[in-house]
Amino acid sequence: MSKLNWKSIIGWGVAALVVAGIIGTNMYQDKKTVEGKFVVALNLPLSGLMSAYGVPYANGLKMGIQDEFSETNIPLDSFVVDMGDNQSKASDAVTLLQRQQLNGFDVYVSGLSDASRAVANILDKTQIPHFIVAFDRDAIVNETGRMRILPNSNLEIPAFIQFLKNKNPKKVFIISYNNKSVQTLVYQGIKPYLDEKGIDYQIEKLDTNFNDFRILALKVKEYNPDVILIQHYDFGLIKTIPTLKEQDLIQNGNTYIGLDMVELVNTNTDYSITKDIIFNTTYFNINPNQDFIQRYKKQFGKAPTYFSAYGYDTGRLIAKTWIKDGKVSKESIIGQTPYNGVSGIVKLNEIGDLESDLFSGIVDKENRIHEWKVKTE
Amino acid sequence: MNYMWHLMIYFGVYGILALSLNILVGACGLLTLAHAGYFALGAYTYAVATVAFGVDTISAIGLSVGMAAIFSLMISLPTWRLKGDYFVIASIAIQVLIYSAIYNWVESNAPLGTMDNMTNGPFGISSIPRPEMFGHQLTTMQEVTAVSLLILLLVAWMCKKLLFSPWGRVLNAMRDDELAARSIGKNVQFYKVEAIFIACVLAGFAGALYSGYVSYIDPSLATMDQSILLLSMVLVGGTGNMRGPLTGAILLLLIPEGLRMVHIPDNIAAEARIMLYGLLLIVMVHVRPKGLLGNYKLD
Repeated sequence: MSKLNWKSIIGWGVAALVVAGIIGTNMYQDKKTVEGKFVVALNLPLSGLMSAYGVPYANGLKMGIQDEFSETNIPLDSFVVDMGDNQSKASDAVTLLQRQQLNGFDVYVSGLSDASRAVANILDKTQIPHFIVAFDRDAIVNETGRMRILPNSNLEIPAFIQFLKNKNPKKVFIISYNNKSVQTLVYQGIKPYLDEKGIDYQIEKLDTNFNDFRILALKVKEYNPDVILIQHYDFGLIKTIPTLKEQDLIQNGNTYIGLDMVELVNTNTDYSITKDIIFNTTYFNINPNQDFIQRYKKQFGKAPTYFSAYGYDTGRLIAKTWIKDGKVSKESIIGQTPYNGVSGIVKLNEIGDLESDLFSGIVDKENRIHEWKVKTE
Repeated sequence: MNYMWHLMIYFGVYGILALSLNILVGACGLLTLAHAGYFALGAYTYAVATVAFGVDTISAIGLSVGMAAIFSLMISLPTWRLKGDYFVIASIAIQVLIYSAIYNWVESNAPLGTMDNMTNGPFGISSIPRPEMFGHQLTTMQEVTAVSLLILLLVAWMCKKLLFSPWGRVLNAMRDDELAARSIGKNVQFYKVEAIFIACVLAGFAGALYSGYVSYIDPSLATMDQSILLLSMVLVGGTGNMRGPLTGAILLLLIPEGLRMVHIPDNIAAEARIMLYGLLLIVMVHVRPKGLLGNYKLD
């Protein structure tokens, strides 16, 4: 066996001490900056594909706290938003949480689904209010700090079922993104209804790297459904819809799409793509709050999305609770609702999940969203 | 302080992965992109065994290691005669195969661990129990840190013994000139199978450790990104010895964390950190093509 290299061991020891010293000093400084303040820690995807959701939510939340503090004349340096990017990776989310726990926080916000699940078990033990930015039906459970102010499967499923009731189809083709929240919606929400009513259906799951949209359209054509349901993110919708339209498969209001269709409308996607499509939408999209939109644009240089609106309402609600009580708990936050926010009436049920309405929307040539009702068909 | 313990636990896990990958990349010269697949295989086996079947920790780790060992033949047998670019392509195929299986082996209404739903697919597996050793569950961060670092030390000692043994020298000979190694009577194909076997077993073991610690896993463990991260650890730190891969593991775990502490305006922070991270890697590769502490330059 080779002899121990003491020089090397000492070198490594010194290097480790230096690294620990740098990290420790930074942590100490960070700790000093947050002492006695209202701290909200965010663990969201702020880079990559899913940052399209994480960034608007984080911006909205920060603006909401700012506005609440400004309106009550409390100095803006009384709160700290500890923004952390988890890059949509569960393992990064856990690391980030551990770092944020060093400085402590009053409220935690995590997303999207996988990252939230990875940190939820750790946070559940603390009972600290933990806002989950995810659509999953079962994300919020009782006797934990978990809460959610965001549209979710529980709100979207009734909208899909209502559309099916209105259309009374014989055959349904479902195109769905292959991730947890979407599959929960399809298999726990839509499929049981179709089974119960004896309606024929075919489910197609698309992975992130799916590219055979023409083949998908031909599959739909071959199946010849009365109704097409699509639940996908905007990056999938932008490819799916035109290929279905090319085959004349979208007509007479036969296609219903989940909430992400709103993203395409917000990004001024060509009307030829968004025309004739019925989709889930929020109160915020039907009744946009112009003051909020203009101030958000001014601060962040971009128009807010419904994610920003829900982030904003969450920010205002937690700040309001903190200002009133000097601390926040799940019960005290629930106690502040119903609350009239930019996203509509924010009402939390007894387990801390959002109870709200989603509407069926349709877009006009000016890119405005209107509520769609059966009689207008 | 939990943050430090957490980083040390991750170092334990990723250190084992880097050392195991070093057996293939550094000692054999086999550039594989399937290593994250075996890591995930170990993690999923542990998770399914403990969550769905209530298997105890030691048996679950044994199953993880066994599963990785069996599936190592998926690489070693088809690539029996392959090397260089062809080996890389074969390893990518296997990585995609494992990822696809994990991602798609799911039926929403079927319970976890059945033939209809073996992995829970994109839903991931949560509430994985913490490891239990000799009747004691490792609940504190300090305990998990101590165990993972102890295991890392053992793995490092074992790898050193292996790679600096006659067996390891055959691997080096095979890496430098396969024909010459064969001409002196060494069955290089068999050595390759053995090396892949050991590397995959260690990756599966690391997967079980990770799974038991984080208590939630999803298919992102088996992505190509994860394989590239592991390969980067070995290439940045350097191959052909013990300190290189371990240094790479430390660096690639600490740099992103260090960058979090650089105070950058919120609106550009996330992208700026990723760009800085990429830039640092490019600089390192240019300045030290052998890796920081490596003995061998991979062609």
